[in-house]
Amino acid sequence: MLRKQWIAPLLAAPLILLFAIFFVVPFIEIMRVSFSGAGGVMAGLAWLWTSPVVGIVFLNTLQLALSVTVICLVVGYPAACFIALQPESRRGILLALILLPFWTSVLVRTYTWSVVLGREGILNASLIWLGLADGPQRFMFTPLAVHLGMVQILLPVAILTLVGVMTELDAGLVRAARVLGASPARAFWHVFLPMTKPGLVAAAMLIFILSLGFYITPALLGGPRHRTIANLIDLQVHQMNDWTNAAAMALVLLATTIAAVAVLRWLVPDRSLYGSAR
Amino acid sequence: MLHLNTDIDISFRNAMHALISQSQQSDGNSGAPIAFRGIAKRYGEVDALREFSLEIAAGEFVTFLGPSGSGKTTALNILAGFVEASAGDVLIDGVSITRLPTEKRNVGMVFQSYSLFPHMDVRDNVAFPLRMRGVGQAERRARAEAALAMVRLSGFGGRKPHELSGGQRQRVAFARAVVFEPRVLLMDEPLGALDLKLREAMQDEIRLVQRRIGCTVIYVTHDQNEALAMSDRIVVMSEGRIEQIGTPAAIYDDPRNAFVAQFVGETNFLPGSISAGRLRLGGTNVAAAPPMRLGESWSGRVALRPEHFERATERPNGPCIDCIITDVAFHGGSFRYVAEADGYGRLVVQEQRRPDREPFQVGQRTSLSFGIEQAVFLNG
Repeated sequence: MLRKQWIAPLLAAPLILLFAIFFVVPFIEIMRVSFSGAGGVMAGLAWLWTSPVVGIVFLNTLQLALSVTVICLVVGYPAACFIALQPESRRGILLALILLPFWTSVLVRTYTWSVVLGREGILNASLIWLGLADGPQRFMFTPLAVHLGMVQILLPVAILTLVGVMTELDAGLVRAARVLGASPARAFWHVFLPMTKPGLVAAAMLIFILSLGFYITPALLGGPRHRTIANLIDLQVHQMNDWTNAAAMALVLLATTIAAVAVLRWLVPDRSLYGSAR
Repeated sequence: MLHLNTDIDISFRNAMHALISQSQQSDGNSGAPIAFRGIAKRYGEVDALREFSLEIAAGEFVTFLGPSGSGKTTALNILAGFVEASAGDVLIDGVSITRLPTEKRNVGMVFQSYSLFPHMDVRDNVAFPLRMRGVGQAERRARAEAALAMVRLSGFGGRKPHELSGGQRQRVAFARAVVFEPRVLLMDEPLGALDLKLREAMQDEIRLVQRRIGCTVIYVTHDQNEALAMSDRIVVMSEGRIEQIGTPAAIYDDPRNAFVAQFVGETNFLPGSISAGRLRLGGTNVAAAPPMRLGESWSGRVALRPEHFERATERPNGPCIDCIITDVAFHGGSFRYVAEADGYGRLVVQEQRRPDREPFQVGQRTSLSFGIEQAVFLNG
């Protein structure tokens, strides 16, 4: 008993320390510096409220995060099913392939997309060669480019999370559904899909939160017309040198993230996530 | 085995009657005959099942008994459609089901791990087979409630499986398997995860419900007591083969080979031989006539159950064996002794408790006898 009492905090200590030093302290410091200026936090928030740009960018960011999340789940789910159904040895190889892009920096991968999607890019060249387009089409700096870039970066998150849940799932439950009268499609719909809900929620949460703070990809592939909140914060800090406004936006972004997590937790309570029949 | 609580038992029986009178209005609630015809299953180089042929009568309770790897679960899974046979055919009601997908075979099934759907409440779990069969919601609900009442879980419909005990989950799984009145019910070690007391109570309930509903049951277990207690017939299996098929009493009294004798019930093996028509056990001549079928010359083993031994009297009922008692265990109605006998080795002996005789003590020398007609002569 005595051992248990100190071992748990000890195990958590490195993480807590890391979190405190690199997140909590800088966060408080930034907030303090930012709001100590003229007007303070209220001035920042008031600017947010009155600025026409901020509201639009905010909605765009939310919409982008939402659509990227949905696309990742829709594309990732069948892929995860396929991987989870493979024998264990092959599953390892497939997961390694999924992880491969993670070893390349986001910046490099994003630039690669501009090579693919640019005016003289591979996609345009292919389309013209195939006779599907008369001249170069515009792909760069469109929502399509931003979505492609972000989905490509975030898709492994969805697949890895879903494969984890699917391989843990008791295959006997699908068998039980089948023998009790469910066709493969109905066994999937009534048993497999609901059983993977925890994975879907976890993946959605991760991807949505990561998408909200995406910076490089929208900046490079979306250009000035498809800014996200992160781009706007960067603009405030580096070009306007307005830390108060930047901090206010960061605060609202943080609040939005927390609200999104809260809504998901409320929609899918812990109990149904982790309750098991075993 | 008596039920622990009579009131509960009565309400259980009432609920049973209600369910049965209800189900009798619908057709096809009696069991269907099943036939396995030369089923074989190979996994690479391994024969999981070979030449498996078996006819099961309508309404019969048949147990596949064997150690793990004996092929009993493979045979069940082939019938359920989870595993495809390499050869042979399975018929339900005279119709081949080999090409039917699992969901069209219309069999009920109970699994060792229960396999209740954790995201559904108990009522939805039980109603699931009805929902898959397009039964309307009101009827679904009523029939699920009746099935839950049958397993004495009325009022548990709104709970989630993880809120139930092991025994309760097993009952729900059973209710779910019979709610659509299948003519064939498959049970794969359904009581394996329960403790002994609960297991025995559940054995009675399963038998009771099966007798009333009349469905054909195939029950898979490695527990010989369970097999002996529940079955109309037992199929003893080992290494993918059928070793013996018979009623529990036939298998217990007349095991065909050493494997069956050893696996079903406890058995003492004595080395035996016949030469010139005279029987020798463990190197000693025995003044008893061996079975005629063995002829003049034979060598093998003689199997005796622990309860076949008696204390030798002035006029013993058969051959006598001198031994020393090395262990005594009290079993309520009987004593179980371990005895060391010269030339025979270790013997396990069971004796009914009687007020007119003292139990043996450890270290006591005694002489035991047995009736030669109870002995089973096994080749090899």
